[in-house]
Amino acid sequence: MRGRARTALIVLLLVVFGVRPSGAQTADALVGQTVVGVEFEIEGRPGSPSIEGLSAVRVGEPLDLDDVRTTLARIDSIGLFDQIAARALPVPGGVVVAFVMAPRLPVTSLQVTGETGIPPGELSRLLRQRYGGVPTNARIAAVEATAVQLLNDEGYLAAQVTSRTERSGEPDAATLILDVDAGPRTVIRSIEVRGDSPRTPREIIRATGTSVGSPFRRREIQRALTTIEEDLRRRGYYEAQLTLQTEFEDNAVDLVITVDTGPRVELRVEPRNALPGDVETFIPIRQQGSADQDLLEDSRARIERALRAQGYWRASAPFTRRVEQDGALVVITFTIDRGPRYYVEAVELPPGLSLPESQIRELIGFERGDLFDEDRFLAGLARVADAYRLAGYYAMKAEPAYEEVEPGVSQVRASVILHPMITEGPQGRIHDIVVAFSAEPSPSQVPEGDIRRAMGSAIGQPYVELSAAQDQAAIRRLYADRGFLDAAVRVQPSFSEDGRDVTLTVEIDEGPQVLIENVSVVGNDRISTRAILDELRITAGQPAGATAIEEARGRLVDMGVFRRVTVGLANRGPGETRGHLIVNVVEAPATTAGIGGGLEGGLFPRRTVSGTVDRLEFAPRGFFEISRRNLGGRNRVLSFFSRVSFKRDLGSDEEPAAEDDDGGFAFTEYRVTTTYRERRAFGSGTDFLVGLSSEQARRTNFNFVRQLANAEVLREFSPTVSVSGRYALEFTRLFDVRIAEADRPLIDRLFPQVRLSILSSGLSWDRRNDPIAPNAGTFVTGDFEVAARAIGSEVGYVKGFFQAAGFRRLDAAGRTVLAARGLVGLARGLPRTVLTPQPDGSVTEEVVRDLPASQRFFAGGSTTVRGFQLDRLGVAEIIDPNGLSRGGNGLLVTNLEIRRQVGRLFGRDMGVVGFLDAGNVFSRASDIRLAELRPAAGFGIRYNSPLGPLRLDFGFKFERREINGGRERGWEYHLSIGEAF
Amino acid sequence: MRSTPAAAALLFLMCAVAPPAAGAAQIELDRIVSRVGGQIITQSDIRRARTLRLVDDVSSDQAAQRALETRMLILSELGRAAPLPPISDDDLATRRAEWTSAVGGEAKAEALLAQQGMSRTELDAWLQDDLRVQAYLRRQFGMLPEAERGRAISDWLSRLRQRSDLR
Repeated sequence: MRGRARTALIVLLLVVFGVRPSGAQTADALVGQTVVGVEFEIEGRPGSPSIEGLSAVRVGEPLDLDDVRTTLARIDSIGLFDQIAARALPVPGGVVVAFVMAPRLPVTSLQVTGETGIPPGELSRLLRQRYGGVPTNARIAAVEATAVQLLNDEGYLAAQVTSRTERSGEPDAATLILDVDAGPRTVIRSIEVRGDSPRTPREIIRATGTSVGSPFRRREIQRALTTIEEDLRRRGYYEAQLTLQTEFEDNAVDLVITVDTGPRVELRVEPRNALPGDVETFIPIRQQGSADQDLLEDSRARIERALRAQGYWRASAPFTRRVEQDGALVVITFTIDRGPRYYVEAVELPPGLSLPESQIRELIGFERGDLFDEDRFLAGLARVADAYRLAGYYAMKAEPAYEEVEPGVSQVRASVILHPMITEGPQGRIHDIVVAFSAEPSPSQVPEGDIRRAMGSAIGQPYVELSAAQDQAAIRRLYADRGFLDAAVRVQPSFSEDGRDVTLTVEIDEGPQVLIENVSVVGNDRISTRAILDELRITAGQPAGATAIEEARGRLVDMGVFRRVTVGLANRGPGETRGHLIVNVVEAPATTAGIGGGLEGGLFPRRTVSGTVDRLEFAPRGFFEISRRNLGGRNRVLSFFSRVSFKRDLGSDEEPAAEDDDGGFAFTEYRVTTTYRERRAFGSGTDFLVGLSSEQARRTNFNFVRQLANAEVLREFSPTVSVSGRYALEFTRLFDVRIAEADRPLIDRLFPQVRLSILSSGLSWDRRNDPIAPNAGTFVTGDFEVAARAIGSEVGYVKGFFQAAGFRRLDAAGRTVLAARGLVGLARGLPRTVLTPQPDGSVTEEVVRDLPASQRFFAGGSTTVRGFQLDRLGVAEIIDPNGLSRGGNGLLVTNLEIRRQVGRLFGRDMGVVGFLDAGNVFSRASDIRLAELRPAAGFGIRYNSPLGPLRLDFGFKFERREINGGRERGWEYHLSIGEAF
Repeated sequence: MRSTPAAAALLFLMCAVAPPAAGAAQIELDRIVSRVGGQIITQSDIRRARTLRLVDDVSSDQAAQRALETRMLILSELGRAAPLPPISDDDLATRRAEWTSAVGGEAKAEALLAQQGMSRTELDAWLQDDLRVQAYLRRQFGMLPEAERGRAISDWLSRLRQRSDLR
């Protein structure tokens, strides 16, 4: 038996001590073992492959707990998970490490449980009221504290609230559950009112809404007492105070309300009309509910300051305080003595100043005869001081001194001579700039030349303290951009004995440079990681520069396929020089669709039996578009766009419209386009686009139908420079031509339907600060195209179009902008001989040199020369008898405009413009002459409406020509959206 | 088997080579227990803080976690405040000596640092932060009478914790 008992004990001990202990000891025992697998689990399911890139634990390497911690930190930094843990499973050959995560679910519903005291629905309602709904974004601790406070307000002074979140019925959502223990409710045992007041104790108690036995609602009681205080102050008891004292015992409270009305206060101002404004503004004892000494002193200072601003330099407004009626009344009297009104007799500057006298006088801002305001004079001296400091007089002082002229002679008017006491001090010039590194003698990691180039200060320049501070910031930015995230920079001046030579010492503690070790992308589903990394253009090993990371983020945003993009370094340990860049994206919907409608209005020329007349017409239009992005996991977009509008029949030369023929919407204008676009196509930096479109549209003097197929490549060489190449095959047919047969160009008669095969290339250099509303920068574009029979075109031509625009702010705030633009268009038709059969059976040979109508230049209208209607500008030989342009081969337009923002209307910006336009369209490019440009001037109004930037321009011709037996109209108006250029 | 020692040996062998039961063999390496200002506190941080006595209260995991959270909150506030005077070498040496004494001497300190994978440089950085925290608290609350100082610091820390959603 003893032997069996011993055996059983041994077995028991083996069973107990043979089980592997879990916890810290075993985890340490696994350190150093080979990692044979790394897994990611989210609530028991495998995690997205994009998270795997975050792991610092590598298969094949020894297990290191630091790597485990680093991985936990990286996963946490993407903000998607609440609980994150790492577990290890020993297997033959090593360990498998699993990172287990529970997703962070947004709170979409609220539930209140437990002993809530007040109805749970009521507590829930109060919480929603406080947070404007379910507290989705509020901190949990704050929600708990709010719930406690709400219960306290209801008398549950010992309330306790804890919270938890649970997955709700909705997918990927959670419910915030508040577990409440309200505790006992405190009730009022007694109420006492002490102190005298115009309101009786019974009235006061009734106003608080309390009674013996009712729950103790402290907040309600305090609110009631505040209301009573305000009432008393309105009655002149400006110092009235009601305080609440409480004495608790068990779950009951005794309330004592103490009323101290203070004396009634009467305010007098003598003389009343001497106050520079209303009493409430200058002596706000009623609003402040106080007549204490500080407030009265402030009021006195306010009155005196306002009077001094009106020129009453010696104004005084002392006050007295007199107690009457045995302390029940306090009379406060302000006695205002304005004294004489002072005018500036002269501003006398000390001699020998370095800055020009005219500049100093302008900065001071006073002239003989001006009302004297001391504060304004001091402000002027401050401006003088700033001007001196910018010139290097770092120690200058500018102090005021005054000389009264014939004091006491008049009580109404007096004069003062202003003496600015300017002490210039030495003018400092930068003698030397020394760069010192704290880590010397080790070489710095940023070349000293780069540091000096980042500085605005240079040897020989005046020393300006502000510039030195800007240099400090610029050097700090330089280091941050190169990955020295902890760099400390200080720029310190030291002065020579005479103060004129200044040495700037730049003290730099570089700290470690953080390099990007690797990049992980999370959150992408349809867009491939490769596509994102290609766009990111950040490589492992490069410095973690702030600007580079921000620009990378901007490139991802510009892809247009993400709803949210964050790019940042995962948290690093102190001194860690390797950074893990995490790109966290939320994809936009793959498929987008849009539909819309509107009304298009404008003046259009209508061909009637009696000639061409302009008619105002409105045409309904609608559009539909649908796009599918992220095709094949890359940034590829397939789009379909269609637009239709219903317009009136404008008539034609063959079939003019009747005078009063309304015609209904006889013409349907449409455009249907399908495009495929791929950014960074074929692994290059070039965007590629292919499109097919069909359209039917109306121009001023003809209608046309066109089918077009095109392919385009676009390459951005820098953020401002891009180059494009394009091929297009188009078929165009003209109809309803409103130009007389005899007046039409030969090409239009011979080729009413024409096939064009066009190769073109473009260059764009855009340095505007804003493409929509620029106020600085330049914009230059050039396009060149050639259509040749050799590549399938029925007619050939070469054509170039160039545009240059510049914008310049005329004031620091950018409210006034000068804008200028030039347009040049040059084209030449390649000759083609056409054999034309005649009615008599003969064949004539005709040589065509023109461009087809769809390729010719037109001008006039809201975006070219605004003194002319659309397509009505041209030299005489291209204008038909009805005043319509046939188009030409040469174009020259210049525009000059001043834009000024004048204010706001209904909260939106409003502006005015003045402009001078000049231009013309020429039959041949070689005909372009500056002397033949037709000028027009005008003005316009701009309004940034909710629909977009509205523009109304009125343009006036300098010279009116004869058209069709009459003169051109002298002015035109244009209503459109967006700027003219 | 007749021999008890032989039976025990056989049983031991069986237990030693028996494969782990499914589900019971996973060992937790680490987990996130708290977050302060975007920085995480893990179970391994708590373990290290207790082993190396990096915080004052190491009586339990909860106490050490709370102490680490408090430390991080104060360092975050310190980072936004006006700069403190630099820590002198003498002060650091004194603090280092205090810490060495707390962990049981120089030899023990070396062994514990090696065990926890903390270098001397990292330890010095930690101790410097300790001194910065103390200097910051002196600057913010040093003007208060001693009787009020503790309460004021406690109230301030409560507000910081509430703002950071820490219980």
